[in-house]
Formats: sequence, C-alpha cells, structure tokens
Amino acid sequence: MFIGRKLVYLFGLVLIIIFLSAFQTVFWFQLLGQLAPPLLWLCVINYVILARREPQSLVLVYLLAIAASSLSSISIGVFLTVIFIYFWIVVLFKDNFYIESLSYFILLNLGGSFLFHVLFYCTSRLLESNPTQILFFDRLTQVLLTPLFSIPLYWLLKKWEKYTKAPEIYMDTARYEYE
Amino acid sequence: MIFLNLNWRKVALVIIAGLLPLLSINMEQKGRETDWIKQPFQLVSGLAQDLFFNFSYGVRSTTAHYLNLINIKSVNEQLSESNDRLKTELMLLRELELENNRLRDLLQFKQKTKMEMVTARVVGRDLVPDYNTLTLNKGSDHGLKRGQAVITLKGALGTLLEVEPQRSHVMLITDRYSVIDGLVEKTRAQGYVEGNGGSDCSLKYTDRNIELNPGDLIVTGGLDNVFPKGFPLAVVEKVENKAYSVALKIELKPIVEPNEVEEVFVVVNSLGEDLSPPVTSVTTATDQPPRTE
Repeated sequence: MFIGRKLVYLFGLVLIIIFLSAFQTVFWFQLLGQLAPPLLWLCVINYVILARREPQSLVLVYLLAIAASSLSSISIGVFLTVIFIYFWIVVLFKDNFYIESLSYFILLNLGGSFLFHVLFYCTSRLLESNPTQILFFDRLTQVLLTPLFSIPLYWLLKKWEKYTKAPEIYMDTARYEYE
Repeated sequence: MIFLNLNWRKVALVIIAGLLPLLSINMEQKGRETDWIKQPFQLVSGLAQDLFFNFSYGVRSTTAHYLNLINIKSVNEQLSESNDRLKTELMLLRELELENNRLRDLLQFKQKTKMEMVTARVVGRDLVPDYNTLTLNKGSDHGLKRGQAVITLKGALGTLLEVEPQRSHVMLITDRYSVIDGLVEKTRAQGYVEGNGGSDCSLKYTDRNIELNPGDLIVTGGLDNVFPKGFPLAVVEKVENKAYSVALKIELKPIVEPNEVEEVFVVVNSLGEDLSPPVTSVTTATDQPPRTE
C-alpha cells in the first residue's frame, strides 16, 4: 500500500508537470504569442526539492525534468547538468533557511527562476558549441511571472500530497521523518 | 305669515327657486349667451380647471415618460444584446473569411508547384526561450522526416529537428543551430544563413567584395536539395564592412514572422524545384554578326 501510494503520487506529479509544460508551450503561445511564459515546470521541481529527502528527490527531479524536456528541443545532457547543479544549490539554501509557507515558496521560485537562467546560460557557454544568447527581456519576464503562478501551484501540489497521503513529511529545517 | 297653517314665506321662496331654472331655460333658447349670473363663477372655475388640467397633464406626462423610459430601457437592452451578438458573429465571419483566404492561397500554392508537400498547423513553441522551435501537429505518421524543409507562402521557416509519430518540432532559421545555404537574389552571391538565437540571423562566408545593401533579399540556394531554390529566406538589415575583418558582417531579418504563422508546408520532396526568376539571355561577342568591310 505504501509503495502503491508513492507510485500514484509519482505518476500524478509526472502528469502535472507534463500538463503544465503543455499549457506553457501551447496555450500560452496561442493566446499571448511570443510573450515569454512562466516556468511552471520549475515550480513543481522546486516543490519536490522542498518536500522530499535528498536522494529520492534528486531521482524524482530528474524524472520530472526528462518529462518536461519532451516538449522542448533542449539537449538532455545540458538540461540535466543544469538541473543537477540547481538542485544542490536549492538544497543548500533549504538546509540553512527553511520555513514551511507559501511566501517561502514564492520567494524560492523567484530566486530559483533567476538561478536557473544564470546556470543555463553559463552551462551553455561552457558546454555547447553554439552557446545561447542573453535574451534579457525574455528571461526577465519569466523571472517575474514564475512566482506569481507559483501561488496556485503550491495549493495544487499540497492538495495532491494530501490526496495521495504521501508518506513523507518535513518537520523543520533540514530534518525529515517518515510518517 | 302663517295662514292655513302654512308659512307662506317659505312657500314663496320655494316657488321662486323652482321658477329660476325655468327662466334660465327660456333665456338659453333665445340666444345661447353666457348667463350673467354664472360669469363671476366661471372665472374662478376656469382657473381651478386650468390648475387641475395642468396638474393632471403633468402627472400623465411624467407617467408616460417613465413608462417610455422603462420601455426604452428594455428595448435598449434587447438592441444592445442583439448588437453584441451580431458583433461576435461578424468577428467570427471575419476570422472565417481570413482563414478561407489563407487556405485558398495555400491550396493555390500547392497546386502551382511540383514539390511534394504536407500541410501542418503550428500548435506550440519550445519550453525554454533559448531554443527557437515550433511544434507542428503532424509527424512521422504523415510522412515527415527529420531535416525536411518547412515553408510558408511568404518564405522559408526552418527545418524539422525532431519528428514524433503525431507531431514534430521545427527549428526556425533564427535558431542558433540553424544553418541554411543562401543566395543574394540580386547578385547570386552565395553564403550561409545562420541563426543568432534571438529573432534575427546572419549571412556568413560570403565574398567580401559583393555588393549588398539593406533591403536586399536573400533566397535559398537549393544546394542541399531540402529547400526549393530561390525561395525567400530573409531581408538584409545591416551590412558592416570592417577593414580588419575577413568577411562582411551581414545581419538579416527573416521574411517569416514566427508569431504570425498558423499553417505551414513541410517539403517532403522538393523535386529540384527552382523558384528563382528566369535569367534573361546576355549577348556575347560570338553572337554578334561579323563585320563586313
């Protein structure tokens, strides 16, 4: 039963991230054209990093990143490298400063989207033969929009955790216990 | 005076009172003039009547005005609703008309050319802004393959990067990994159109001495047999000729705006289609008639 609930939780998260990525790539594009969309998939990844312990959360984040990358031409190697570095920076931050609240989640998404863009730019410059451009306005728009959209997503992901009775809960900063 | 137990004063008053109407009837038959006895009363009664008439007129007109307003409001609401509905229908009809014109142009283009093409719709864009790709609603199940050219009526859009069974991703010519052989339409000078990753591209590896001005058209070279030859690619925006540089720095703006694209053609087989304008013949020395002396 325990394994079953975990699998349902995992499956649901994958579906949520794919659904959000499709919203970002199709619905947003059809309505608003070239206006850069918020990084909805990153909000899900941030939530998983906060809500899960390190080894399993890294695997889960990788899985979610691969699921999201199915809607992009992004190189998997570059993407997972960026996600790996991003993951540990966020974990480091969380281990030193964590408050279970919506405000914290919003701030994390604000900083996280900025961090992701910086990491992606630097990694692309280092690893790719044709590195990416700065694309300042697109990135700025995404950094500003992502925390706004993280508010309903926090509620949604909390509801999903509650519904699936996901077994892991966090007690305080840097310490977790299984229920 | 009481006589025979009757108060004759009272009887006289009654008789006079009874005779007065008879007298007035008699006077009316003679001339129909206003009775003198009524005139002072008529003045006051006229004023009273005017007063009441004006008052009742005011009441009636206010009521009618109010009832009219309610009616006007109700008619206004109906007309407003009808207007909104008609505006929506008009907008839909305009959209249908535009779509109809677009599809007609697509069909005419498809019929004119000998290329084998598959039409597709643009449904989405890339997840991250660093990759300039669009998603189409057709894939390998419809005969699409990686590397095939994607064009619109206006010009070339890009090439297929990834193909899945039911959808595919187009790498736009502005993508930093996009390289397409191009020709300057005017001078036929060759080069390569490379994307810059933003919303523009550059023409590279051209002869430094070519004549090129902003506004010149760059077309597909057709060397790779992916794009039809002579198909519009981009327009020259800026030309920089630096003394120490090996080649010209040429900035291009794509002919096709990705935001405005809805339907595209995927060129399954270009069949060597050449869309360049026909070359006019040039007279050479051997063509001239011999001189006679």
